Amino acid sequence: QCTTPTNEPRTLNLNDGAIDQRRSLCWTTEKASPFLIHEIFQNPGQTQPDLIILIPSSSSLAARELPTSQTERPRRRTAAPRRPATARAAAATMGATPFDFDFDHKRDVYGFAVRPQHLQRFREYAKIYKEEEDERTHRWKDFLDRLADSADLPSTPSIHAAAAGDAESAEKSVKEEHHEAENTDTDTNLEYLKEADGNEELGDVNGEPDDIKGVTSNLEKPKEDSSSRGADCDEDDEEEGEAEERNIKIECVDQVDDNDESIEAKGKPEDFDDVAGNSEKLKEETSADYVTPNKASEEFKEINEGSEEIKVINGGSEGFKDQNGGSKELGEVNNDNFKRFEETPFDKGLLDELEPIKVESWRRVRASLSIIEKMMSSRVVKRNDTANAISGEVATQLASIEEDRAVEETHEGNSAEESYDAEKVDRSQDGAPGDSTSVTLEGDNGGSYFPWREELESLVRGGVPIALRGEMWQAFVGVGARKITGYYNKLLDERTDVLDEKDLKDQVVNEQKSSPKKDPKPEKWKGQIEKDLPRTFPGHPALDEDGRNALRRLLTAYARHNPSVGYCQAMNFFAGLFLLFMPEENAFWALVGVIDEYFEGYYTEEMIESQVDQLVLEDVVRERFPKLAKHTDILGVQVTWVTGPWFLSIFINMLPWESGQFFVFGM
Amino acid sequence: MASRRRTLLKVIILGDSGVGKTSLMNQYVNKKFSNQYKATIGADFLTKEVQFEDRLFTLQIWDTAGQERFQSLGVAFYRGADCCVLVYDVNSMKSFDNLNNWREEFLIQASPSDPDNFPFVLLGNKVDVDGGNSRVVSEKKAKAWCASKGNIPYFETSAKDGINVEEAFQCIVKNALKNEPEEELYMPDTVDVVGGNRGQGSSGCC
Repeated sequence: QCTTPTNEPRTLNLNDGAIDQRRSLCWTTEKASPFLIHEIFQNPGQTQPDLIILIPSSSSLAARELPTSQTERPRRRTAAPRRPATARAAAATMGATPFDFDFDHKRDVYGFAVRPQHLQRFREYAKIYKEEEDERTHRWKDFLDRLADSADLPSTPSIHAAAAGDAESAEKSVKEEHHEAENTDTDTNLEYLKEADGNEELGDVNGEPDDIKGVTSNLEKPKEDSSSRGADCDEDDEEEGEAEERNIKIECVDQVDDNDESIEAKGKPEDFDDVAGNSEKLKEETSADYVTPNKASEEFKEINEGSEEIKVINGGSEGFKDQNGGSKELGEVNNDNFKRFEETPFDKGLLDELEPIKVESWRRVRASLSIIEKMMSSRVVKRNDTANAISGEVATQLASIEEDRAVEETHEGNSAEESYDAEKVDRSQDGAPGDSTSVTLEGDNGGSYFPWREELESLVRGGVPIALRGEMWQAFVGVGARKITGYYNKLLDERTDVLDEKDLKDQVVNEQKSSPKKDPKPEKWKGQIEKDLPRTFPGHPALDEDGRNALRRLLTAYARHNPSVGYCQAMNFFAGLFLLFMPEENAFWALVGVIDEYFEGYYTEEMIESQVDQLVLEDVVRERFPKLAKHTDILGVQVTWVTGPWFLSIFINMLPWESGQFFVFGM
Repeated sequence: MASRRRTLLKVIILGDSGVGKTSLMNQYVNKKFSNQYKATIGADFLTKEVQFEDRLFTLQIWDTAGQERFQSLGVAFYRGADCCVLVYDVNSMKSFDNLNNWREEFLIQASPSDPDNFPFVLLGNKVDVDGGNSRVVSEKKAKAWCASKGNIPYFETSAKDGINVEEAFQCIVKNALKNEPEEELYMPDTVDVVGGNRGQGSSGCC
């Protein structure tokens, strides 16, 4: 481990450097000069440390509300390094150097400027950071590999064999056989589910037909695979058959959903056929999105960015989750389909199909990640009575709703002692380490045992490689399980009142919807959020105007989601951090998970849980570190005066970025 | 150490979010200004060695979060304060209007022995902004408020340009010593003195 430099500053500032010099190495005081940004974004050929900030500035931080001329700027900036970044990201998981530290640009790997006075020390330590990161990356790669292997064995041995052999075409045909042999409807079902998702998304798209087409083409991408696979096998008949069945299914969806957008949905198979088997066109469309600033609807951008992201960096379990969301909706509607869906080699198969760039390792990484996510999401499942009755995605979906509702009750009905207690119990069970694994980790794969917990835990404690952090956080917090499609945008929509409730079938939403009406006061958190936007990671290149707009949306949406918290300072920091690592909407769900569950009661007006934790900590310090307690007594300082801010900011700004931050979330 | 007299002076800086509390503290202690301070969470403190009338003091300056709800968190550190610095932004009427709240909240939480004579100092910050054109709180108005609260010393400052900051803190030190009680409590020279009571170092004047 890298030790902290010990030269103390003349003045003691407990929360700003003296505690840990390393973190201040990474902290920002310099304003990001245009030159730096230019260097970072325009020179992909150089050693490129800014893998991470490419994500936010291109996708989640891209302003949806900005006029065309303004959105154009960041897009151009980020367009250049995309493909090299992909290659690097791929290389990272394959065990090569994950990223380089940016000595020349005076910015750490997270994009935070290094203070000039710390530059020397940063250089000294950078080598150690890098070595540590390499080591971490290797260990994680090894772990995820084994996880992917193990996951394949029970359900899809043939795929596993093919994947391990790195033979792509072989894999395709094998999988084809596999699908055909076990369930001829598999592909169609998957398509069907995707269609459903498409409907879902389309429901929010108000843009021109072109946009919808773009959306469609992105969503249908996997279908190209399937059709090309069909071509490989010279079984055109089957392809047609599939297409037919698809049409039927789509209509079925329309009926079930009773969707206003059914017309658009019906139009889709045609688009589909245009696109199917024409990957070139698809590529053109997606890349065009980045060159041509589009006035398209917000949804459209988001979707495109989401799928683009799959290509670019973290391998996009995002896309996977979106599909998940769609499948959840459907699963609720149609149990038959859901069951079949469950029987199919879902993780591996779907992920493979989603993969736009055939990088074997990333596919496997995402498969592993989805396993971890499922495991972690089972915590959400556990919070629900129906969890045992219904397994799988539906349960997780319901659980997240249930959970939100419970939170609401706790906040609104102050006398709801019972639900509060129940939550407490749940939480303590969730948090119980080690022995309770079989209980806690009873996942949704038929209640399978997750045997990797201890290893995963130790890995997390050792730190998550930067390239994986965004994905791991989402997996741990259970973003996929929590996500309710459309909720985020409805929160942000000023016309919340007139929206129909159909999509969200959820009491929470109704409450949210009515709360602005009930509450005559203007949203009082607005002013504070505005004040804090420029005070969140000041100078970070990703938090330019677009970034701040994204942060504003994120914080506003959360405040509306949970008025009992509204906005509390410190939230801006981890909300901002989420934005650096994941798409905006996912960041919202991560925020919901963190504040509503892990830190429930921490950021409310009373901040009661925060106080409780600090009192407990104080006791622990007295018991375990009597010398320290005595020292602080003599100084007339309580330990908690110092540690309170640490906990409140979840150690953001307090610990060096290089250390394994946020491990608290997962385990 | 030459003097065994009490050497720690504790100062609390209060005021609305964004009025420049952190900036003032850093301008005074480090003689630096940055427009990129992060929002203060909870509380934070800096210390500075100051000399006053041939005596050496450690000035312990507590910078607090401006958001109201943090009041419910930890105001325990108000206790034992030797002086309270109230800060408002001359360009924000709201921050000025809230001064009463901050003052009263402090007196309740810190519960000094003699609330009426507890030393406050008022700083009207950000006088540099827009060359003073965006100013909404006049000096006269601020001084009137100070007079109504028992002649609180008032300074118009700019943490950015360093205007009046040194002078203000000189006054803060002076006022912090004003209430110094006759019987002194002693700060130990070293920290390994056995059996120090909690709060010993800060219970001097209250």
